[in-house]
Amino acid sequence: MLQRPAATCTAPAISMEGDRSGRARIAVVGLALLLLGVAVFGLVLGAADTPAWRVILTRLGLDNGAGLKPTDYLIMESIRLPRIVLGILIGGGLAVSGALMQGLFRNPLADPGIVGVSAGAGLGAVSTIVLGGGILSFTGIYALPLSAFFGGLITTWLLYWVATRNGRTSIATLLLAGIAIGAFAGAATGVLIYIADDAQLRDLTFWGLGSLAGATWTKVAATAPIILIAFAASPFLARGLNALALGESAAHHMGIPVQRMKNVTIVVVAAATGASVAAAGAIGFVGIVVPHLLRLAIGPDHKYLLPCSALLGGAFLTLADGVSRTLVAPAELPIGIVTAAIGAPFFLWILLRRRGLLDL
Amino acid sequence: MTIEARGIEVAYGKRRILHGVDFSARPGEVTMIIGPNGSGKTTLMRALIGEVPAKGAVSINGKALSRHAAHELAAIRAVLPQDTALAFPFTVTEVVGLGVTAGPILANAHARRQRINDALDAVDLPGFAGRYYQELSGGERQRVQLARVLCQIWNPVSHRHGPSWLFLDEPVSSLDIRHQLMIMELAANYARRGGGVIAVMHDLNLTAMFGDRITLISSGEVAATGTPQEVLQDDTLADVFGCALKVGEVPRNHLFVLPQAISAG
Ligand SMILES: Nc1ncnc2c1ncn2[C@@H]1O[C@H](COP(=O)(O)OP(=O)(O)OP(=O)(O)O)[C@@H](O)[C@H]1O
Ligand SMILES: [Mg+2]
Repeated sequence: MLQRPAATCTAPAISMEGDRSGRARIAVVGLALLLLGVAVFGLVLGAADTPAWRVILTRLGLDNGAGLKPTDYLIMESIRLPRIVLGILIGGGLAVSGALMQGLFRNPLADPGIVGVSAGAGLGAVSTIVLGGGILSFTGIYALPLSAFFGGLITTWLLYWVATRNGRTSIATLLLAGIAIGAFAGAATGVLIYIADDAQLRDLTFWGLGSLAGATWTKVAATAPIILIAFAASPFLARGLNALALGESAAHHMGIPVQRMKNVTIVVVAAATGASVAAAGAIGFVGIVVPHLLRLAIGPDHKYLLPCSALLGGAFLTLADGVSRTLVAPAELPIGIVTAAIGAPFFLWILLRRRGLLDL
Repeated sequence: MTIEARGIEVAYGKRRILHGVDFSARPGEVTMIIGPNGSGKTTLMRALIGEVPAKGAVSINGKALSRHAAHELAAIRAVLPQDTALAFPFTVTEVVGLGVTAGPILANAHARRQRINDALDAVDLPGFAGRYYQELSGGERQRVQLARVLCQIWNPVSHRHGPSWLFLDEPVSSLDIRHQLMIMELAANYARRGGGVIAVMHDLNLTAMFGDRITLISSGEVAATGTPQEVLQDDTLADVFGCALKVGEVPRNHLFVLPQAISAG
């Protein structure tokens, strides 16, 4: 009775149509190579009188190192290398935070910078610098990342609580709540800066636009564990975030422990954002540009989106840092200016493309 | 190994929607829930799957609903909601793949792909694998979601968990007549092979044709329950739906329901 129309084409034995996982796996490898290339490029980039290649080759045992001065090693290994490593960690951390947050809120416009989480994390860090001398000495180099983490955590949780009702997130509420929370955190930060003394002010100045200029191995050591933990946790969230794209109850029926998954995601977002903000201030738009480009290329499957975001985010920020160092050399632009100059038009472009879908 | 619900009461805020509903379903059968708009069909289904807090007791495969972990439940029952929104631009393959991921573990990528293709064939969407879900028509989306749900509990009976359960809230509401029949036959076939199907329906003729048992809900209470012959009575239906209906029989015990004028009630 119900014969299929004879005209339908007969598929080959097994077609992989609509399956982008093969492409995504290639992208992982390609982006890892890109990151490596960009890292080397960043190392070599800089004042020409430093024989960067020779230092690298010597350290790899491919050059005898004759004629290299101790300052050459110092510039490469204590100034440029920590800066590259920090840039990769922070870029990756910001991009992964963005991807996680977009999955959590089920919207490609959610981003820690845009919805005020970075501002909250910044407030956490600034309060520690200005008010928390005791905490500083107690937790050492982790004081800033930890306080930024708590600032980010409170903000993310608050946002989720305000913007999500019955498992549905209103993107309008989310963005507006983000503006309010960001403004409040900014005001509180302003008050703290007002009461800060001169020494504290020097610590605070770079928070405005974000910069990798102060990179040291100590900063890397304070940032790396937290961001690496966030990277390590994110694959375990991929399946849940994919299911969440169908809504909370659908995810529950697919066997996802939804509440726990959401809590872990919020903590991971706050940790990665907090550690990034503590180390380099608020660098905007990485978390929105990188995942969005990747979704266009490999699709929204978080299994691949999250690792690819880590890799491309690292490469993107390292490149942006290269631009910020060379554009007005020998001075340098704060990197936040570079990412905003690329990211803000991009954000507008997404808005234009998605017009009408906004009240999802 | 059944679904049993006793004395289900659900309230949204102060408004009580279900007033002590008893419901049961057996594997091997298609159990239909019918009733007017707003009578509480979806609410009853949500109570049966633990989506709303409900007073009363619900058990599935001999164990209280609340004592199953989320992953345990996912292994024995899948739910097709009345409507589904999708957040990101997934392809049809990827959406159905989400169901495969939620289902029993398959040996390799080839087997997973085969499962996706089989499911797409079952809902008559060959050639749709590469399309974007967001660019499909309403009826096509509904069938993609059904394919996803099917993949989650592909086997009607599993050795470890007993019978599997398909919960379908208006599975054919936006389908053309050919696909209505096709999807109902698919559901009936799932039941013939030992699974349980619980479907909320509006089309009384499809209900008569494919329902083994019917529960008729009226204003949050069970108005009638039993076989099609027992439930599909002129007076009962006219009472509950508020319009005159004529139930007839075509050869081989097939009931049909013929609507009359509303005022004639
Ligand atoms: N989330 C909710 N909050 C408050 N009231 C609700 C909610 N969901 C449903 N209701 C109300 O509960 C009653 C039963 O709703 P339900 O969705 O169960 O109806 P239904 O029988 O499935 O109807 P339909 O045939 O239109 O799908 C309706 O009056 C509805 O307005
Ligand atoms: Mg309904």
